[in-house]
Amino acid sequence: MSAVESYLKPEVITQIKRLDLRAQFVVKGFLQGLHASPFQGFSVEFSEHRRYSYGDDPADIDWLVYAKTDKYYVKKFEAETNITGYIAMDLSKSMGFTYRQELTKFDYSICLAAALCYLMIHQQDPVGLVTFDEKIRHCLPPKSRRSQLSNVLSHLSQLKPDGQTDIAQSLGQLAAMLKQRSLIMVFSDFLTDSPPVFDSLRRLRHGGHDVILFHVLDESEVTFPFDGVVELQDPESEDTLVVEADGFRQGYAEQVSAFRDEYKSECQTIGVDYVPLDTSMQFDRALMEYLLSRRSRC
Amino acid sequence: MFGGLLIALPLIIHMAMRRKPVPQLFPALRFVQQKQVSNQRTVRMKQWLLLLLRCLLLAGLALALSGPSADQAVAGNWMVVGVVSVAVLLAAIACLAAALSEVSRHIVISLAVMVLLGLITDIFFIIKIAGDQETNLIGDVDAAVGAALVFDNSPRMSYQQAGNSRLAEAAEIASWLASQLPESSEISVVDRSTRQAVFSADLNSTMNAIEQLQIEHTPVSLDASLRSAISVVQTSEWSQREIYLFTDLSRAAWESVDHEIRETLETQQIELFVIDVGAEQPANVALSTPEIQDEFIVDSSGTEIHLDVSHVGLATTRTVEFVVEEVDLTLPVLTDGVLQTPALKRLAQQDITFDASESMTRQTLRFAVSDLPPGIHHGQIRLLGGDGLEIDDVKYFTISVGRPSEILVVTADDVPTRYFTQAIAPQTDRQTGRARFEFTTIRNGNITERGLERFATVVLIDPLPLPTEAWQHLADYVEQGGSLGVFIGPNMTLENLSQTEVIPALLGGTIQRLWRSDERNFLEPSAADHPVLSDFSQLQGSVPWAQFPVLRYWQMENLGERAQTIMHFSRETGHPALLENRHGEGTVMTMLTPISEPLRLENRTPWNQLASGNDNWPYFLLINSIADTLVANRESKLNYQVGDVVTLRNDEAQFPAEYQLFTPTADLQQVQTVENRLQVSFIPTPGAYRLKGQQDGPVLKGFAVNSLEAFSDLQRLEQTQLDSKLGQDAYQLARNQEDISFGVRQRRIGQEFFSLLILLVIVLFVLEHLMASRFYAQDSTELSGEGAS
Repeated sequence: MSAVESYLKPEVITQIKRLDLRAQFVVKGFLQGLHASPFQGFSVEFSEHRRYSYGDDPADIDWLVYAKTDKYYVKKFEAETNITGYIAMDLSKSMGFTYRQELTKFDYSICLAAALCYLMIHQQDPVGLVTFDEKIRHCLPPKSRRSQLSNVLSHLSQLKPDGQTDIAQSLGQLAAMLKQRSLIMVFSDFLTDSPPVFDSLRRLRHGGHDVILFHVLDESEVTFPFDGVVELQDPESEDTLVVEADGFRQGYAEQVSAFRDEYKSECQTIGVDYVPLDTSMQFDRALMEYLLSRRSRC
Repeated sequence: MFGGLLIALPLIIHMAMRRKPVPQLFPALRFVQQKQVSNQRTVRMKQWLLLLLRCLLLAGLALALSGPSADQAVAGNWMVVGVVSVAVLLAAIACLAAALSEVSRHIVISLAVMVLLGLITDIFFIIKIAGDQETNLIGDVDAAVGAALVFDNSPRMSYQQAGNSRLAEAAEIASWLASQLPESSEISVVDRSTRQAVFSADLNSTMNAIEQLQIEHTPVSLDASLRSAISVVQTSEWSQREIYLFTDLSRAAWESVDHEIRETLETQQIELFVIDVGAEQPANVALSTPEIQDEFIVDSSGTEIHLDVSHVGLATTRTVEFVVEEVDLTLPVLTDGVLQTPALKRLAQQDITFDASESMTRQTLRFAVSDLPPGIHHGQIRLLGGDGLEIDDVKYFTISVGRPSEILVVTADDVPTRYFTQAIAPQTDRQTGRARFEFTTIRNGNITERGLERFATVVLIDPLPLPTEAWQHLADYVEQGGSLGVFIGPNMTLENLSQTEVIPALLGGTIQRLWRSDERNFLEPSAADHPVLSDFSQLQGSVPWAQFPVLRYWQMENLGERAQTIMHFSRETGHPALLENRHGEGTVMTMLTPISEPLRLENRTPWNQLASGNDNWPYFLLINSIADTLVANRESKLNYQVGDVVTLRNDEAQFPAEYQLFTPTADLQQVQTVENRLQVSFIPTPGAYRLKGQQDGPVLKGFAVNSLEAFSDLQRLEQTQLDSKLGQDAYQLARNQEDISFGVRQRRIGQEFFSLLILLVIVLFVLEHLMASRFYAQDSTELSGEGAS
């Protein structure tokens, strides 16, 4: 594993304080790890030439190369369109939680969002930023200029998760706000009632938007690593509960799994990409999901 | 046991200071809330389980520190109860854990069944233990005891090993043991003497008694010593009663101990400790008691002495020396406490070789002695070189050399006495002075006026009818210790035999009639073990008695209590032929058919052909045996074993009435003649005992005393044999001080459970620790999670 690739690990990326460098390392590590890239289609620039063969679209023939070499070469995967991306970041207090990881859910989401932002801007796709808790708090309009990256990262670095959340309302608000077809990347733990969220997602889809849900949970929220008797407290509602963790782990895991399955199933129905993550996972999974989604649209 | 109250401690702590669980931020609480109810029940159950473990932990610790123990007899049952209880506990915990973990119901049910079965087993064994009223649960190692230290101080314990006798070894251990017994204990020192066992006044007295232990040459049986010890410890005021038996575990010593001892010990609840001080592989060469052909021999004749030499141990060659004291009438004398005795003259010496053997092997040695001058001769047969056991390295014997025994023969004119006299004292021997007997014959004479005391025996050979006075005279002679041989034949009449009550009393029965028989009637042995028939014992059925028919005899009936039939007639097995009757102090041997019948008679048929038949060696042997028995009764025995009562004939008319007895240990005793006898009733030590009287110069008598052969047998008792005598678990066997300490502790306080209970406590502690650490995973009261900061 190269030094850059190691930055795909959350515990390593925390050693880099600057968010832009974090984003850069994540993306570079990811791209380097791809080797022979199967994802040429996303690139807006020249990718490669190859000999024309029977069946290729003659429209793909690069005539300039023909003129120079007198041979038919096909110019592959030049990007045809740009897509406007929105990073929707959940600012609820629960996003600031981690049990034993280096990154909170919020930090993890920012790193990932920054990497995606970096990637998109380098593809000259315009990227905007939306933060929300009970409603949309901030909004950076999408731009594809290089300076947009520093704006987005600067804004993300100043955010602090706090307060209650209402994802459904916030996404509904976003849906109403967007005028053109966009790619909306939602970063949240979705620890709220799911039906309203699904309704809001349907509205987004109805508006012609592509949606990727990055469902970020803390590692402890997936594995329930506690022992003995613990008193659990919800940081948002401040409800408490004393439980005996050992006898509870299995049931909890089933609950989480059912929750994620519900989202997965519903998202599939709606046509939303669903990326379940936890803060112990490498960033490449999220990036891969994005790229797959991007490719499918090309 | 008050430590058990500590159980209250965890209860108080548990109830009053129940620890709050660790607070923990957790945004995904919504997933937890759905399982909340069942989990709360689990938490409470685990708390109670933890409480139970803590209570058990303290209870186990308190129980272990109280040092519980149980009688050996029920220790096994308690052990089962303990093991099953632990298993039940673990199964119960596993069952609860399984129930809480929502595993398969089959597993939970199986564990529950195991718990139930374990509880039933526990209850069964506890009821069984409670039903045994004779067992105690708790003992005390430091409580005063009533103890008897029993020593086998038989001669066998003088066996030397590593420079110490077995008795000295036993005394050393016993001294240590006595000092180790708890204060105020009552201690009795019991040995194999006849002394009564009592508790010593204090520890010093006990130590003195142990120091003064000596070899007892006439020991009582080990069984008797043990019974004596049991009797004395029963009188102890202390409930804990113990017997420490110091023994060499020799098979011979333990022969007397039977199963009753075991039952008595069990009944009286007396602990027995057998302390083995014997040599594990003893080596010894031993001489048996010499067997002397004739203790009394006449001038110019001789006798033969034979004895067995037994061996056990490594291969060895030893020299056996045969020595006899020279005659010196001036000795013995006691000079400054030292006994001066005549010098010993070596007559023979033989080498004897033994191969290595773990069991006892024997060889027989024979020594001949002759041409000794008249007098008492003390001699020794001794092993040169010495070995571990000295008491059997030398054996003593005494021979009397004197004039022939004089026999008075009373008969009729026409009765030939040669069949008798030639048989026991051939003419050639009489002419050369080698005959053992001399004869004085009275034919048809009156014996009433005759003094009979000087005769070794009186023999009536087919006498004529005797007057009542003569019968009375003979009866008086026998009553005073004389011996009489009666061979009645055709000269006697039934009227004469019936004239006085003296005759049946003297002869031992009533003569009923003259009995006629045929050629098929002959003599047959009745008492094969009688000394008269001892020469025939090795021949068994090969003696041709049937070749010597008895055609006529006197039939005797109504035998007295002291009469014994030695031979009977074959045709009428109820008719005695030869009988012995004890009359007063003397003996009468009566033969109911004559021994003086020639082969042919002109006027009548001979009554038998015993004396005149061809090849009549049975008659020769029989008549010699009868003569020897009659004369031996008159004479004194000269060779004894320790513990015997010695009786020596001493005619006051001929010999002094008072003698000085010189014992082998240089003690001097006065012995008086009572009714023509010298009696010595206490001969505790082997050796030559010398009697010295004065009557116109010194008169010497004496006898020899040897130890019992059983004391030479060092073969050891096997453990299994000891178990069968005492019961496998009814005693503790020890060989050294460590064994004794361990055994005493085991017996006094039984099986200790401390180590097992500590093990249980450790298991409980580990369980408690595991459960508590899982219960309170973090010792932090702060909220965890980044979101709290």
